[in-house]
Amino acid sequence: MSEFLDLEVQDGIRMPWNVIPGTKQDATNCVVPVSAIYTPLKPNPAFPVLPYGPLRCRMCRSILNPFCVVDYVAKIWVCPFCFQRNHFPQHYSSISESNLPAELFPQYTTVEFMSTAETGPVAPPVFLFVVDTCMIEEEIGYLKSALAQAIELLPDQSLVGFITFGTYVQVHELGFGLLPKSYVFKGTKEVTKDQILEQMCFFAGKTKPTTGVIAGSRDGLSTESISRFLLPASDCEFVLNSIIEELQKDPWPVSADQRASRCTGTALSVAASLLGVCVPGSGARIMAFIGGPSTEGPGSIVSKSLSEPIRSHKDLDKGSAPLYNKAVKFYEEISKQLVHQGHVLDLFACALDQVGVAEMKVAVERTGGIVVLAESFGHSVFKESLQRIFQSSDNDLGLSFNGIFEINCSKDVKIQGVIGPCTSLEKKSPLSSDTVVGQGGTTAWKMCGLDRKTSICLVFDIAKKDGSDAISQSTSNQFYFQFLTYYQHHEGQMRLRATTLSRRWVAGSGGVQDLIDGFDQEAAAAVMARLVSFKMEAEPVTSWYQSSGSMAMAMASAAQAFIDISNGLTELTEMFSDVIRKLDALRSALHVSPPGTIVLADFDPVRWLDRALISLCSKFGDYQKETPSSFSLSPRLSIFPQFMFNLRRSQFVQVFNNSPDETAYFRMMLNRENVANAVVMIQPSLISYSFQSGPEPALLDVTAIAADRILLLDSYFTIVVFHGITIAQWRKAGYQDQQGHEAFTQLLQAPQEEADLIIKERFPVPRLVVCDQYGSQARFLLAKLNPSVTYNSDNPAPPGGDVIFTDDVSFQVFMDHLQRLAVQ
Amino acid sequence: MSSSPPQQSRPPPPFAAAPPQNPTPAPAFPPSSAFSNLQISRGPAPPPGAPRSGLTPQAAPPAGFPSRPSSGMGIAAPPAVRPFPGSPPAPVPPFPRAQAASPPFGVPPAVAAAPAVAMQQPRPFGGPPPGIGGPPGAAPPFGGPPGSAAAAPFGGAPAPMSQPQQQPPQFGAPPPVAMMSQPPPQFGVPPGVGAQPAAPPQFGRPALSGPPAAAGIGSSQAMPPSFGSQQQQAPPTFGGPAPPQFGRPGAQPPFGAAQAAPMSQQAPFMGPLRGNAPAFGNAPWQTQGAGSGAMQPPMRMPGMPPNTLGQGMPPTTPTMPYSPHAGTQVSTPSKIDPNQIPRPMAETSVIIFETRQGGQAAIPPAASSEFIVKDTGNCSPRLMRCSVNQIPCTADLLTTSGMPLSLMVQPFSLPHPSEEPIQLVDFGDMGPIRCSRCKAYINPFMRFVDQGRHFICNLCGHSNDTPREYICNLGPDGRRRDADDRPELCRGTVEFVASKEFLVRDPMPAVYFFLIDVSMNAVQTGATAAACSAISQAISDLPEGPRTMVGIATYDSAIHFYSLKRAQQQPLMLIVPDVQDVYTPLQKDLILPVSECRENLEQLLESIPTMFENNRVADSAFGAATKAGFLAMKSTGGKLLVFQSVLPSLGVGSLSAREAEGRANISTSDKEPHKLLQPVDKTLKTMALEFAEYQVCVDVFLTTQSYVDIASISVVPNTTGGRVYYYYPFSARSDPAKLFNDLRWNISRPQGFEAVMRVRCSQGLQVQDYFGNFCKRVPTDIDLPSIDSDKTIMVTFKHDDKLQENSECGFQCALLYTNVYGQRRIRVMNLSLPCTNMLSNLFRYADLETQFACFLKQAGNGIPTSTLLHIREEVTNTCINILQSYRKYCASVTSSGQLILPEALKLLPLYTLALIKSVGLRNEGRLDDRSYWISLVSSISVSLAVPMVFPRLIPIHDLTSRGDDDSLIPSPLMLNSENTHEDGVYLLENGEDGLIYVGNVVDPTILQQMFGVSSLAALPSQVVLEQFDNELSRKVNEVINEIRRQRCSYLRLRICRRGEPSGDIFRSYLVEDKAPGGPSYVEFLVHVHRQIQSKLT
Repeated sequence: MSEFLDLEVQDGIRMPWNVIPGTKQDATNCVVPVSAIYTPLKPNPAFPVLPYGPLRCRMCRSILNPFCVVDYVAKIWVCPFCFQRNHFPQHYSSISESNLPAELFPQYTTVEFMSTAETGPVAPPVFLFVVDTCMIEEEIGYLKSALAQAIELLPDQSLVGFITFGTYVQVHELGFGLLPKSYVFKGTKEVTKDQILEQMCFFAGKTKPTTGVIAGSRDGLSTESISRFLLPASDCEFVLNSIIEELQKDPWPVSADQRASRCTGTALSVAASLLGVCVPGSGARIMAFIGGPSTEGPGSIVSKSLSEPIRSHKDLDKGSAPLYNKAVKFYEEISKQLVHQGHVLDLFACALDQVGVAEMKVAVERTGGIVVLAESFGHSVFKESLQRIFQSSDNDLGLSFNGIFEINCSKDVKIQGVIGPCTSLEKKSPLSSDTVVGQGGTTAWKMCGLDRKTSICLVFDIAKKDGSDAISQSTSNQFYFQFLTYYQHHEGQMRLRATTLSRRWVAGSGGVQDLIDGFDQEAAAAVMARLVSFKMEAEPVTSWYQSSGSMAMAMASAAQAFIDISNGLTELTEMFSDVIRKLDALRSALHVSPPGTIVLADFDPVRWLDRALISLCSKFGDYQKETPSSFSLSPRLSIFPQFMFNLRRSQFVQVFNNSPDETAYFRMMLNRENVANAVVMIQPSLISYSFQSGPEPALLDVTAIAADRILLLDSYFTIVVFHGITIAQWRKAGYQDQQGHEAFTQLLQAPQEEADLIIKERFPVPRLVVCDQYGSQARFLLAKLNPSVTYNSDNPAPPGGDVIFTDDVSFQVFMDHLQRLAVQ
Repeated sequence: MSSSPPQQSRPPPPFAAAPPQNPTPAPAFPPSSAFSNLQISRGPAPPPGAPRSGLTPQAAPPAGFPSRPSSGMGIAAPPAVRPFPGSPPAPVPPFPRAQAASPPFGVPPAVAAAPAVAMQQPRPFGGPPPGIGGPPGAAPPFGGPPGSAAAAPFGGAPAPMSQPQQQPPQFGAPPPVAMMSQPPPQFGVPPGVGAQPAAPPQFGRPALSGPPAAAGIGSSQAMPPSFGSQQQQAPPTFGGPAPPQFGRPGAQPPFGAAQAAPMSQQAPFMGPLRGNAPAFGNAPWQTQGAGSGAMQPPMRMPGMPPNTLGQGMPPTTPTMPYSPHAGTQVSTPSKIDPNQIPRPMAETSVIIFETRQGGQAAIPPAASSEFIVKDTGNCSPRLMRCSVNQIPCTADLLTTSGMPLSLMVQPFSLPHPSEEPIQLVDFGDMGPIRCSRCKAYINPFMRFVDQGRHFICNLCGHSNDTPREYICNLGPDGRRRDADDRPELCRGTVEFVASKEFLVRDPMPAVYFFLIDVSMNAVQTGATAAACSAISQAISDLPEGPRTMVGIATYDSAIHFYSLKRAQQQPLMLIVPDVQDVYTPLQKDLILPVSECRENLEQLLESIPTMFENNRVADSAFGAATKAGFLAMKSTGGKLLVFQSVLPSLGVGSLSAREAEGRANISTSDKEPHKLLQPVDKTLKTMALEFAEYQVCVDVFLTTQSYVDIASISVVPNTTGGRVYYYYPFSARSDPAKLFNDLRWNISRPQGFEAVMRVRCSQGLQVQDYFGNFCKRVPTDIDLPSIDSDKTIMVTFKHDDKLQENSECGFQCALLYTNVYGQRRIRVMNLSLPCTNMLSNLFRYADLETQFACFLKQAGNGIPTSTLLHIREEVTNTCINILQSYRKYCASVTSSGQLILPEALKLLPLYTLALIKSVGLRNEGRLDDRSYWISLVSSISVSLAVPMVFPRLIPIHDLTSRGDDDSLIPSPLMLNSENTHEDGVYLLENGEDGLIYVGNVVDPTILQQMFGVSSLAALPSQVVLEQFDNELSRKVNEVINEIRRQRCSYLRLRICRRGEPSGDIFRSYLVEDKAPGGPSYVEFLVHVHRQIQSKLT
């Protein structure tokens, strides 16, 4: 394991297969795709920052790197990707074996180039606040104070803009000194960039050029007109503070049976257009603070009438969320616009109900925005997260802008796509595979916003076929990859980070052990999680049949559902929850909602994961055919089934316990976090504290619960401190405050301190739940534990232990089935 | 009427005597005497005068202080002096009038007190609650002191209490004069010496007149007095013949000696006659009407030189031959004496007019004269007057006469301060009693029968059951015994409290929304600053009540709203940038009770000009802004006041510079240039209809220096009951004062909101159409989002059956409206006129001014759809047809060589000529000027219709040397260039503009005194008339202020000089002159005569 971590430290990359299956067939057999999770801005003081520009290959534009073969005499280097021979330019003339430029040092596989000469000065970052005002006074109060704090933390030179919205959108003109002044746009109507240009007086006193791009100070707008809306934070502090101070609930009346009319979509579109007009191409983020669902204008997710509930997963599956697709389409357009302009959308959604994160996800994710989901603007999850964005500390986010990510690799490897916060630039090349996963069909991606933790998952395709040419090429059984990230550093300059790596490949059946040795199960779990999430979203989980109410069709579908169920029984998928889902489908099929719409599952994520796991175990496990008990796995693979077990039960796959907004939020976080954090999301870590021993990892199992223990569960989004019943009683009795019980005090504090530590590092700030055994909040813990002891288990729980009321199968049962199926 | 004259003769004499001699008789009179009595018994007559005179002086000042008259006296002066807001240095006294008045008559304090008592009676508008009266009246047109005081100028409206004050102002100086003058006449019926002295001084204008009568010079003077007397005596009906009308010219030897004879004849009658009835023939004429030549004398114009009486017309013939061609004037001089042709005569004395006498409708005095109405069954002629005072029984008769049958309704016209307020009647939940068939309201002409258990509707003849609670026994005369106690049964005009069934919603508050153009040009020309300052001052006079709401927005290429509801904080500026699809940024807080936001608003208005100082946006989204303003006030309705400075070039309802296109077109091919006087498209009209539906009235103030397409813009105000104000070319120096005063008058004059009006008439007639500024959605009613004291609606009728001779034809106008206090009222005005089969009666009882107003409106209406040439021809033909009809059927005896004019309509040719030469109908001139003229005319009142085209010309350089003439305004001169000399300074005013013509060789000291400049060259064309510390300047200001008061308009003053374009403008108003645009008066008469003759043969 540790070697993978070392590799990650060196290059910010984790790959499930560190030895690569060398042919297309091999790769397919390996089930887990050849892929990498790359953190482009992973900080590491060891990375050299070179004050000059890179040398590029004439042919493939790849950058000089330690894997290049260099002829010091001829002053020639050979590109490892295309084998092109390149001459060193004049200023490299002093190169020799003993005098190497940094980018050729073998340990510097990752370097950064920073050349101001090439790029010139860069505009300061822009923060455009977009604030919802349809909230109760209390929430507005929280939001005000949070914003006021945030404004204080803004870097002085950064530009600020302010937009509020409710029924209408108000763009505040911060540069107008005399009165508070704002432009008001109707919430029901989308505003185009041209309209913004015209209606907000960007041409006052001048005639509008008839042709050409008009935007920004470089392309025809006076800085004066721009600085009406976007001002250096230091210049408009007063105005901004007074606007925030005077923020009020949207004045348009709302009747008791209605939702507030909130035009989130229009507000975001105005914000996007405003940025597009004023600062296209330079780093800017729209920070949207949203307190409820959008009900007005494009992108609205629910009607105003409270009698209509906000869509649930079930509605989405059944297609009974009429506004959903329209809204998603709208936000896709916005995301395109933002990506084109190089701007980011951040989302701070704080409401008890959903606000439409599911719809906005596309815009946030494609622009690399941050998303924070909380119940209230008064909640620490929101408040602290917001502060973290601007705080400069060891854990700061290192927000960077306007990134372009490019990839080069050996020609037998093709790139299927990227799953993560970025957008394809549609730069097709021979390197891009025909099979597309995520953002694909390209070798370059736009990452409008990225920070030091942003991690993307690259999925590769091995193009090399079995056959003779495999041998001919075997002179080098290395694949080379080069990742180039060109971005606006949070300090302002443009930088280019280049990571070049090489992996050995093996082909044929002989390589199995090599493959196992190179298998990174954590990375694999993370990749599988991203993949399954992606597939659940991309391949419609459901498809639809419209049969004008014909009963026949309904029956046919019902029958199909039955078959599915019986199959499920024979396979591993007999899990109860699945049965319930099937029954659901069956029920809906039989009930034939009005015009006979029926739903059938197309993509079944659980079965997909199960099959993958079974195949993997079949291929790499050690067993005698048809003898389940003989089954064993190499340590390299041993935890993987557990990851899969937990993944199947996780919020990424079992979405029905969550709202679509939450699911979208979880998936967005999964898609931007690195492997370690992804693993925590999939399989929470559990630490136990007791008098008997120091803090020690505990099995994620119900049996870990004991009356005299404190458990600390980190499921990434939530941190639970769980006091066993005895501890809880002691604490309530106040022993911790009594003399002579310092040990108990310490015991109580230890998990808290640990939790604080985690919270400090994490963004968004996780939610902390402190609970006691048998308390209601204890469900946060119980839900994550392996239900090895349930209400109908044969073996009762030990005294002080706990029982989980579930029909889910336990890990043990799961493994039994896996072994049985793997050996078939 | 006709019968009455004889009787009346008696009353006048008694009173008259006393007052005449003393200039300060006023005090002597018992102040308290009731006005009402006056008319009936002569006895009372004098008192009225007295109080007035007394009051006037004092009153004026007190304007500000309604409640305590006495104190007011002392104080009065200062407030009056208050300068106009707009004009910085100029200490223009707000109520010049008042001031002027006071000095002359040093009313003793005692008197002052008296008025106080009297005050209560007069409530002009008399709403029941004391508060009510105040509002309407309150606003003095021009910057008077704020508050109720303001009312003073117009006197009518103010609260009951304020009335006393009001009175004074209204009557102002003149009344007193009248008083005095009157007496003499009465006594001295004969042209006697006594009379003479009195007359001249009093009426500045030479009352002369007696055209018919007064022959000799001496006599002429005498005449005036007689009128005066008449007026007061009014009751006597016999109306002196047309005397008043001839008036002015009278001074000169109009009709020669011959007339003298008539004079003497009349004399006897005259006194008694209804003095006021200027227009109509006197007894003598009547007979003539029948056919006797005698009557006509006065009118015949053409030929008859000074010589013979009217009767001796023979000379006429000569005219014909010569006249036709241009040369006429020259050639005919010997035949036509320009001095004898009919001209309007000044009328200064106050007449008391009872609307019905002896059970018959009385003939109303001329609209332009000053009179006090006593409502005895018919409504005041100010409210409603008919083009003919006897209704033709058949359509044929009407057609034959060539005259229009129409009613001019001015429901909120300002009453004379001495008039009784309109009474309020509350029927409780039952609501006013109405005819169950035609829904006419109960009125004095409904006949109760069957012991009062039934009543018969005077309009439809339906017999209705009298509601039980309302039954009352009938007296021996067949009237209900309680008729005199119930205003609705004895008054021509009453107001009913609207019961629930008239309420669709709660009565709306008084909402004022201001929209200011802040586009580049508007700011740079100072128009924005002027508008802001005007609004700021005007709102300071708005009543504080919670029902008065205000809002404000500015606009250029976007609309900027201001939310003022922010306690201590600055207003919030909210911009609506989408001018294609307009909306309001907030639902509330854009319009607030004035009490909540006054300070904020004032501060904002102060900063707006600075805020947009550097505005570079040249576009102006008028249509969109108006729409946005409308949306802001949609829920309540109200007044939207828009200050626009450039051609609206953006957003909904944007316009293009059609004028330029028009010019291009004309040069190439003259294709329908009048199309440019039509709205360019329907957008604004559609918007306006929507505004009207939600009771939003739009007034547009065009402070511009370029073409703004008034033809299109005016559709909005015209449809919503508003009007266009036009300041072209806008001058930041001289126009702000007018802008302020216009605005102030606009929001403070008597007015009603969310009004619906319907006119009903007796069976046999039906309403043909309504003309004016309103919105009509159903054929029978008109909707008036706002109706104010300046607006007049013309209603035309047609026969659908025969009327019975000797019956009366009834007209009832009902106006349902909300007053400024949020009370819903129904104002019902009744007019019942006798029917006649006699054509001659039609002519005798024709109402020239009403008819002329009718022609004016019809002409204005026709301009956009027809060529000017055609309109002019139509106007001329109308005139010719009427005269020809008269000639043919009523004066056929006389030789065809004579041009014979009916007495009542003798000025028709002159006015027609003036109309043809008016801004609206003459060929040259800017499109906008013509469009503005058209829009103005559509709602113009009868009393302003004539001056509009036939302005008043007075010399002002010699004001100081006028001696001690009591009338403020010198008698007007004839409108020809012979009367203007290059060493004089003249003021020509038409109720809208005031042109000051400065001769080229004026004595520099006059310039120095009047304008504060030492030479002609230093005189700017834009003047702010300041009052300097010298007699002349003071007098000039007094005169101008008096005119402003009379016209309810602040006159746009301009300096005109010979040889400059301004001089040409001045000349174009001298309608008697021959000009490129039309013939001279004499030529025109000749033309008319020829036409008539050719038709006859």
